[in-house]
Amino acid sequence: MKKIASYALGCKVNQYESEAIAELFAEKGYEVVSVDDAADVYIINTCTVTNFGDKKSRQLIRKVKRQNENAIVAVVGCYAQTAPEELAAVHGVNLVIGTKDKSKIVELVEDYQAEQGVQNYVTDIMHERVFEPLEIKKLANRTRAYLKIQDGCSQFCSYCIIPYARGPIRSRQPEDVIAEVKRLAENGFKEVVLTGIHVASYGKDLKTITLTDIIRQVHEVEGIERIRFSSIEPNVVTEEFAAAMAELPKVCDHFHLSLQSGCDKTLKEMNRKYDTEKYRQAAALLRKYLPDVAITTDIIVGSPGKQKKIIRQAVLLRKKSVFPKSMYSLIPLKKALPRRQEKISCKTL
Amino acid sequence: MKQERSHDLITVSDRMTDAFLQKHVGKVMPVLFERCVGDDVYEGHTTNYMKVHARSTKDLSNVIADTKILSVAEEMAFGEVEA
Repeated sequence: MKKIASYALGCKVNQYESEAIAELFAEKGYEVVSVDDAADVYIINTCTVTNFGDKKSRQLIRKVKRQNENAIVAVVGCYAQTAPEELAAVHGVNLVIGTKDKSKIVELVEDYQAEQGVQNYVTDIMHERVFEPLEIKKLANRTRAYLKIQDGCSQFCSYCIIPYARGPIRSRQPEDVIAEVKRLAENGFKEVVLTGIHVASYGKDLKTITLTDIIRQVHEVEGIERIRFSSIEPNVVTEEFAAAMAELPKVCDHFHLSLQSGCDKTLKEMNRKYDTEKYRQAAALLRKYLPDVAITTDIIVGSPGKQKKIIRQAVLLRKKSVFPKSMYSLIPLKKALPRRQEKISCKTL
Repeated sequence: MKQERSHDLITVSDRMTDAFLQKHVGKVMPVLFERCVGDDVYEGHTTNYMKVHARSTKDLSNVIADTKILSVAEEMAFGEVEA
């Protein structure tokens, strides 16, 4: 039996996709093994949100190739999408696939012939309009499940490469979302985390459903007792949204609201679509309806031109918004960004 | 400069995390326990994502149990499962 290892670097969306990819191979009779074991096929789902993500992706490719020099190594994901030639040149890479066509990955790997050299399947992502179906069916009995409901981002924040790696917003069809949530409940999961590249824009492309609607539908599923979702933005948090969340007892009172900067001028330069006042209002609304709410955030500390004073403003805003539980790490963001900024981000948990 | 900014924010963040956790001492909160982390100690999270450890001889994996928060330290809480 051939062995396959599917591994994700970076975000929860990548992790979800890598699990789904492992299942696609398992369905075709492959044995799924750890990325630390010798395998016949390695699928590395890369991350490019920071230069560190790029480096880790390259290191992992070299490591798996050392484990089995004859293995087929396919690189997928954001780094592969945005720098296919760079990755094709890394020793050990056989296929470069990017952020689409993941559902066809078994076929692409099986069609691969060593004499072909490196195969690059990366094509333009900027005109994709439909959510590529990928799902997780068989699940070990665990507690919390991540569920990808959305792909792509059309925000174009000046420091972020992801819109170019993931393409425009695409929402998963609500009936597919609900079918998967039901399956999760049947497998004993009590908590689902709705994830996406920009989950706040769920439904904007479908036009018949909103983020609140899909949360309500998930709420109806018996057996699921807790619902969380990945990072949202202040603009989503209207009085109506906060009230709706408070009326849904399964929705957890924890929201990740990215701040990025406590300075209005910097927020504007970053092309964020809110100001600090809007942020304060969003935090206040959440606390009005959910008194015990935990609000966590991200703040970028290395934006060029920022003075110490500006960081102080962020600190002040943080104090007013009462953020609990933050975990920081220094993350040098991408060089190859639209604005080519050197940055360090403070990331909260 | 970047390190200094980062350090400032981390300091504030640690203080706020601690204050947030302290606020919950004495409260009874539902905790979804995920796994045993050794010596009959189970780890789980509250709805507002506080990490909680509680001792139990009963298997609490994938169980939601009302838990009284007794103390906090190092970004997490310690509790006792209500009978």
